[in-house]
Amino acid sequence: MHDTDERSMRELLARGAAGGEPPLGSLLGDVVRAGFRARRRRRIASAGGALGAAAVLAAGITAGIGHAPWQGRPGAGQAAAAGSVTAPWTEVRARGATVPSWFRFAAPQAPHQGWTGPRARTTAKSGAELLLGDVAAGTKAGLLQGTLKNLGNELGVQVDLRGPAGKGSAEMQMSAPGGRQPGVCDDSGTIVCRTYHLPGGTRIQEDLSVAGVGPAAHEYILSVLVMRPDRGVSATFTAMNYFVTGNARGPASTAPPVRMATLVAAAQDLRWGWTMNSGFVAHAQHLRLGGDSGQAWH
Amino acid sequence: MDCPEGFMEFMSAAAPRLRRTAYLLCGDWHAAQDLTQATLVRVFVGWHRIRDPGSAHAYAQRTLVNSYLAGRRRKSSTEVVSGELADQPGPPGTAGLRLVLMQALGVLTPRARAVVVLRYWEDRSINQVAALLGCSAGNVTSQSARALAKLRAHLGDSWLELCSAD
Repeated sequence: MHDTDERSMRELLARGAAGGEPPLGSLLGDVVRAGFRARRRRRIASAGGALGAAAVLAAGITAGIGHAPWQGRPGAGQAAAAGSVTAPWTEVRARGATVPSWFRFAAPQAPHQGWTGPRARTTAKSGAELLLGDVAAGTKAGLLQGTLKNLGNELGVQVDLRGPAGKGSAEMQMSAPGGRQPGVCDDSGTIVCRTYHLPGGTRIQEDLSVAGVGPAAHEYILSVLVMRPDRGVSATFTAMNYFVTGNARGPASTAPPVRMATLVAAAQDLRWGWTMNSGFVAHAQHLRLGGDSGQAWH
Repeated sequence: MDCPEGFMEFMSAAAPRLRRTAYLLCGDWHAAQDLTQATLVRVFVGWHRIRDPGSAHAYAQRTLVNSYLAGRRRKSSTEVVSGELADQPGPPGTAGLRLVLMQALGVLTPRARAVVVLRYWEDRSINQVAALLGCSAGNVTSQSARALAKLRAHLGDSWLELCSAD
């Protein structure tokens, strides 16, 4: 009887899994893209964080060191400018790699003010609302997703964007105290990368890298990692010239929809934190977050 | 940035089978697609650690099952499990068979379902399933026997109809 059941079960499962199977679609390409991103995140997370380590770069990469004078540029209602300062930076460029003509490192800016008033715990929705406010002005956003991960120690938000600056996706990941640290610019996909300290101790890493294989090659990824001087929070902002949903991608020459300067400003936004203004958090609860089927653009 | 050597070939060959396994575990193709993608991304990230290409499929399968079980644990607090089906199954055709089969598999616990799929779909030995799930061979034997009994009891006369249906 038991043998009969086992044999029957095998037949049932074989017939149940056969037929009605949808095509794989973009699965393979999506895996490769997501794999590169996951590998990159893992490398950043595990990197040592010592800027001096840039001196021991892998073969095939050249490094340059210089000084960047800059002027803080506060907006209305923002904190006072840090003033004109000079700070050392380290730039790493992959040998033989071509930096696309549209790419510029950001002119460093003084950060916004933090939240004031009663505080509440940051939610995926409030994080998503702030991401849209930071990077998506004038663009349409779709497939908005927000998640609290790793037992609430990481907040991740991703959104597909399309607008005058192009189309693609933007992502934000915020880590709890002691989380991610800027590492050396040694990722295999890096075209050019630079690291520096802002006055006050904030550490920033800007990176342009390329991902994809075959027809999907030369998909660009802009990435900024900011770690606050008190190590309270680290934030990674990423923009890429393809939709994370995989249903649209830009041609090789297309820039991501968000520029590096916007990413840097967004990542430095002091409103990011494990608590936010409670009114904003409550307001953000009305934001609609989509899943894989949430194709609505708003 | 190039894809790790051999990964594309592995993925092209393994993805359809992995997704069918995921379908039998999850019960719908959308969830199966997500689970397969998450699995293959993990394999991609850990590809450099796989020294023997022959072990890649076993690694992927273990990752798939673990991801499925982890996902079910996370969802367990929000889903209400019911032993009652809203409708009785009609005569089982090909599509009907799938529906009835998925509903029947749905009465099993995620771990028992994984045992059934690995034993009778993947055709893994008891020892292999035990190694994949990190439990004893005796545990796999008892779980598969209980699962089959539960499925037979749940399906009742439909069991014979399903088995004899073309």
